[in-house]
Amino acid sequence: MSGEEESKIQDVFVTQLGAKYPLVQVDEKSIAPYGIRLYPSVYVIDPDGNVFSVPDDRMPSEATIESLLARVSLSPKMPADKQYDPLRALWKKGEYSKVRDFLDKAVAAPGLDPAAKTVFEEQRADLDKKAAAAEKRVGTLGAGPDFAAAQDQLERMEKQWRGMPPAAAAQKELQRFAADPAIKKELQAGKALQKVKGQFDSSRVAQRKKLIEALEQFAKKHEGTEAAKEAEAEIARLKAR
Amino acid sequence: MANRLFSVLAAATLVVAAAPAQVAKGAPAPAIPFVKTWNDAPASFDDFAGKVVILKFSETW
Repeated sequence: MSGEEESKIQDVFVTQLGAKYPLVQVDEKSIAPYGIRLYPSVYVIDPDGNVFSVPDDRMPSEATIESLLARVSLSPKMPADKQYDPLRALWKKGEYSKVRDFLDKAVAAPGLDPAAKTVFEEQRADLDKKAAAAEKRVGTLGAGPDFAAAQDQLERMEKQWRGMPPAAAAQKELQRFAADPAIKKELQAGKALQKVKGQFDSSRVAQRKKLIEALEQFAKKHEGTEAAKEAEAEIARLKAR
Repeated sequence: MANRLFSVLAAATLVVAAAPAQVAKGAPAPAIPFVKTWNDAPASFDDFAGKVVILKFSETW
């Protein structure tokens, strides 16, 4: 690696663009298996470590990414030892209140091996940290503006964190969504937009034209909503193709 | 040797003359050794295991 290259990345991405996301410098030869033809090129990798999309595809929608994220386990790293298998399984299932109960019981067990105790205590602290982050995320989702996507995520969080503070917070937000007429309007519009999008195959020219027409009608009907804005952005994207 | 950078934001778009075969969808994602990292990026590709990863390869040219 040349110092000049490293300095350039620091200057351009970190300093000038103020990038807050993880950046990694890699060697040209090491990325050859990806078969990159253009820069920038985007690949999506699923939680199983397999390539989900390549640059020739359309970038997966937010909903698709969300469905992939739903398969992600928050399980932290732990020793390969078999004594941790039950705990590993609970993490994998995403039943976090059961993880909490398991850890609390394990830590309190008399005569526990000091090394195992350390692992369990670290996991308990990690769970608390994840719960705090999830609760914070609930607040962010509740603020909108994409209430349709937020509703899906909150419902999932309510299930995953049942019996713990993030679930209570998610439930509260969902109740607020149901009671707020403006949010209800957004939710209805969001669902209607997904339905419109699902009716056409935009990779076909004739259907793309029909989709544009349908989106235009949608944007007019649901004027003032986030879904209408999304429809207008989609129309612009489709017309540019 | 030129180095490449991947990130979640774009840099410049440049056409590569040759058109190599793209990794197949559904195939295991090839592991990439990291030369240097910024912004709390994982230390190795293996640290992405179990996560959804959006890889964006960009250039510094």
